[in-house]
Amino acid sequence: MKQKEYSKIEHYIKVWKHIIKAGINRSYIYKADVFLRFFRSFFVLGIQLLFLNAVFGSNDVYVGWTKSEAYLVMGFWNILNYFSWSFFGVNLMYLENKVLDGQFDYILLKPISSSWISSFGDFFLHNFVTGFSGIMLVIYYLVLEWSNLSFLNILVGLLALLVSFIFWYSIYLFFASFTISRPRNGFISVAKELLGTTKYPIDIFGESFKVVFYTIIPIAFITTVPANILIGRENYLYVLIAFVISLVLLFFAEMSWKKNVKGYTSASS
Amino acid sequence: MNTRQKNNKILNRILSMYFSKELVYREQLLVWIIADVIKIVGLCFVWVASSKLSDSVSQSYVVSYYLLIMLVSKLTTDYTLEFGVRDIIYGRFSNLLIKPYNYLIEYLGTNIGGNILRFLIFLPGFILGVYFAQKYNLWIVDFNPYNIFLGIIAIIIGFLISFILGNTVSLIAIYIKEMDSIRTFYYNVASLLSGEFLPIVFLPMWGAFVLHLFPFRYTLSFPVEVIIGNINDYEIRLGFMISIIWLFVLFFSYKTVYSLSKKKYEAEGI
Repeated sequence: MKQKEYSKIEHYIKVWKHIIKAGINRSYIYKADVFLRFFRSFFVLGIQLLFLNAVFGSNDVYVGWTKSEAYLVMGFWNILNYFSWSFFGVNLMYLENKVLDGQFDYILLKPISSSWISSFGDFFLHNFVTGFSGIMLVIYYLVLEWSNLSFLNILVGLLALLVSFIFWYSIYLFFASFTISRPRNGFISVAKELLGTTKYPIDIFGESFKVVFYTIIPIAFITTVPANILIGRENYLYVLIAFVISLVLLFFAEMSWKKNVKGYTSASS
Repeated sequence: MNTRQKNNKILNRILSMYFSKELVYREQLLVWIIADVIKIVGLCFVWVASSKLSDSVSQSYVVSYYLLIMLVSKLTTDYTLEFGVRDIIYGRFSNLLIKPYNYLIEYLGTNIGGNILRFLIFLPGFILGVYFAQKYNLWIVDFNPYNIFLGIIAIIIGFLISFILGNTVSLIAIYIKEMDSIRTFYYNVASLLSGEFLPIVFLPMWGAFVLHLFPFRYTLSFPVEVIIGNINDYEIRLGFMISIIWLFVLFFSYKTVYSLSKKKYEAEGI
C-alpha cells in the first residue's frame, strides 16, 4: 500500500498531535495527581494575589505599575510558565534522566530532530490547566481597563506574548543542552529561576539593572514589554526587536544543542 | 557499644559517604546555589521596592532578612521529598527497612550532609553580601552573641521540624505513586508560610497570626527574626514554645503515619 507523503511541517504536527493525545490519556490513570494539580492552580492564583496585595500594601502604584497592571504581568508570566511546562519545560527537565539512563540514544536514532523530540516529546495536561490562571488574570485586567485600551495594542501585546514563547523556549533549550555532554550540572535550575524573575515588572530592579535586562540578559522582553505594549506605553518596534533577539537566541540554543550532542557519551550497554 | 554510640558511628559514616559522593558533582551544587540566589535576590528587590512605599519596614531590614534567609535555608532545608519518595516508588525503601538501624538515621545523615555542603559553598557569597550590605548601610544585624546562640538553637529546631515534615509527607508515596503534584504543592505551602515568599513584617495582623500558628515559620523566618533581633523576649519565648510543641506533635504524627503506612507498603518497584 502506498504511504501518504507528508511535508516536514505536517509530519511534525502529526507527531505532536499523537503526543498530546497520549498526554491527555495518561491523565486518566493518575486521577488523584491530576485533581491535586487542578486544586493547586487555584492555590497558586491565591498565593499570587495575596503576594501582590502585600507588595502594594495600601498604595495604588508600585514601581510605576498599578495593581491591575501588575496582575497583567503576573498573568502573562503564568501563561508562559505553565504552558511552557506543559509543552517542553518538564521534558527538558527530565532530559538529564534520559541521558543518564541511556534513553537519549533512542532519541538520537529517531528520524526526527533530537532537540524537538526532547523538548516536545511529552505533554503534561495538569500544567496546561494551571496556565489558565494566567488567562484569568489577563481577562481580569482587560475587563477592568477595557475602556482605556486600544484594540490594536491588545493584538500587538498578544503578538509580543507569542514572541515571548520563543524567548522562553530558547533559554530553556540553551541551558538544557549542556545536560547532554555534562549531565548533573544543574544549569536548567538557573534558567528556571532566571525566568522566574520575570513574573515581576522589570522596573523593580532599578534603572541600572533595567538596562542590563533590556540588553545583556534581555528578559525584559518576556513579560514587561508585552504588558507595556498592551497597556499602550511601549513602541511597537519593541516587538520587532524582541522577535529578532528571540530568533538569535533560538539559533544559539540550536547550535549549543548540536555542539553538545557531538560531546554526548552513551551510558547504555 | 551502646545504641547511641552505634547510631552516631553510622551517622558519621553516612555523612562521609555523602560528602565523597556529592563532591563529584560540585558544579551542580554550586549552580543550584546560584539559582537559589537568583530567586532570593529577585524577592529581595520586590520587597525593597515595597518597603520604599511604607514607613513601617526599612530597606536595610529587607536586605538583612533576605541575606539571612539564604544562609539559614541552607541549614534547615530537608531533601527527603526528593530522594525518599524515589526510594519508595522504585522499591529501594525495602533495602532501608531491613538494615539493622532506623532508616531515619540514613536520611538524617544525607540531609545534614547536603545542608553542610550547601552552607559551606554559600558562605563566601554570604560574607560578600554582608560586606556590600554594610558598605551601603543596608545591614542591621550586630551579631549579638546571645541572638546568635538563640538563632542556632532555632535553626536546629527548624531543621528537625523540616526533616520530620518532609519524612511524613514522603510516606504518602506508599499510597500514591505519582507524587509530583503533592511535592510541588508542599513546596508551595512551605514557601508561602515559611516567610520566604512573604516576609512576616509585610503581612497584615491576621496574616502574621496565621504564620505564627503553622510550623513552617519556625523552619526559616523565626531563626532569621531571632538573629536579626527585631522581636522581643516574649515573642522569642513564644516562638520557641510553639516550635517545640510542633516538633513533638509532628514527631508523634510521623510515628503514627509510619506505623500505618508500613502495613500498606508492598515493596514493589515501578
